[in-house]
Amino acid sequence: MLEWLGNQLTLIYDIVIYILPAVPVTLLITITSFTLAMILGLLVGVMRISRVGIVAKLAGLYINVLRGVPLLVQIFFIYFGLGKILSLDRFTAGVLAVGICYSAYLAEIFRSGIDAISYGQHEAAQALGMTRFQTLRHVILPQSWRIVIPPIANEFIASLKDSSLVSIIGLQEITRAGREYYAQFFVDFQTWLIVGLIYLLMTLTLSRVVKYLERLFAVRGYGSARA
Amino acid sequence: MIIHIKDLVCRFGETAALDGVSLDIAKGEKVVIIGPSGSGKSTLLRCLNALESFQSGEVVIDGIKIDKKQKNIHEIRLEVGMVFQQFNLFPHLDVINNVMLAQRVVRKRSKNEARIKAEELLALVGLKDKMKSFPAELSGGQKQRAAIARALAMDPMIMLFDEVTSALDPEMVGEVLEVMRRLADKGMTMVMATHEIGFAREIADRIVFIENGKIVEEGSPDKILSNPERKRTREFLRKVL
Repeated sequence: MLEWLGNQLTLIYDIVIYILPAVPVTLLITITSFTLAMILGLLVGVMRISRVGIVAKLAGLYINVLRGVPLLVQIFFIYFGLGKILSLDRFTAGVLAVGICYSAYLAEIFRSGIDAISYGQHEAAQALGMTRFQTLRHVILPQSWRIVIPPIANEFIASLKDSSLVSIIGLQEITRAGREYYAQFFVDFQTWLIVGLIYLLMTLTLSRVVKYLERLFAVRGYGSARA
Repeated sequence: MIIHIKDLVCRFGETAALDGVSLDIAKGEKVVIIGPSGSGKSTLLRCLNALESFQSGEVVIDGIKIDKKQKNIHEIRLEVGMVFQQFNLFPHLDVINNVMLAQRVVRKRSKNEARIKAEELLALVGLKDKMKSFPAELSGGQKQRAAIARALAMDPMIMLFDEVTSALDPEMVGEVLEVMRRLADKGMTMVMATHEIGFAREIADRIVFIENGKIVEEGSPDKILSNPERKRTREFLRKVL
């Protein structure tokens, strides 16, 4: 019994040591692609409410196409399709695919965050002489931002999990490391248990960070996050 | 004339909210607009700072004609401050930053300059001790006074008040009217839509009665409130007094 337990612990230690170097890769992919997604998403979200019809339509098309195609297919398309033409390396292709896909979800979140602010706020800002851009920048977005923190955090956590999909194009992140360990030592149960636990540990930590962020941006007596 | 309105027509779809309104307002004049709800009081005020666009007629503010394509609306809005029924304070900023924001962004004043101006105006409206409060922590009357300070911070030549006491509890109406009285004493040009007939009688140089988008009758408070010529004016006053 003790010997079995000792063997198991050694095995688990082995797996963890094998997979740990892949953790920073997963984090790097997630953070880089999500930063890209935030920038693109804000841009497309604002375009979506543009008064110029064609701009709003283009943004709508962008969102619908990207939300309607599986991320895995987008990864294949960008790496094997576009990647050949533009000679993208695995990392760039993976980050682009996840970032662009998530920007569509974030665009809808930003748009709803902007829509949630009452029209009186726009009018008050404009009556003070602010341009539409100044109104958005100083009055609307700072309020929207507080509303969209929780749904954006959800997407961030989801993108961390979805970063496992880029293992398919050979990026050495957590899932890929798990597959390689299994391929070498044929230990399935323990390997995937550990891989799962590592993801779980990361997502739970992120949830804590989000709670902290909500408190950080809370305004006294205003919004859902009360200080 | 600091405000010149001629044959103003403003339609929402088929209905004409304003149907040929002409009105001239002199610098420093206090004009109160009364009329039933839906008569076009708010629309008239909103046309004066281009929050509403209009189909025909003209509006000239201090010699600047409002361009129908709204090319020069920012110029106009610098001259015209507005206070709303629903306050519309910026809930994510404390009171002093509510008063400072547009000074910084639009007037491009330094932080220090904007702060001095804001403190001065908050003292004027009696909110010096609430500078660090957020709008959600204020009473209705305090919110509206902060909103007045915010509009004044842009140094407007004209102030528009759109039923600013209608959303207030009765005991808070007085403090807001008091601030407006102070402003009137300083010689501000004021155009007010209100249901406070008593206040109108006291403060107005002229009262304009408007109904169905048309000016029915205008004149001194004494004439309009005590000896109205038109039957419609009498009927309206009987209901509200």
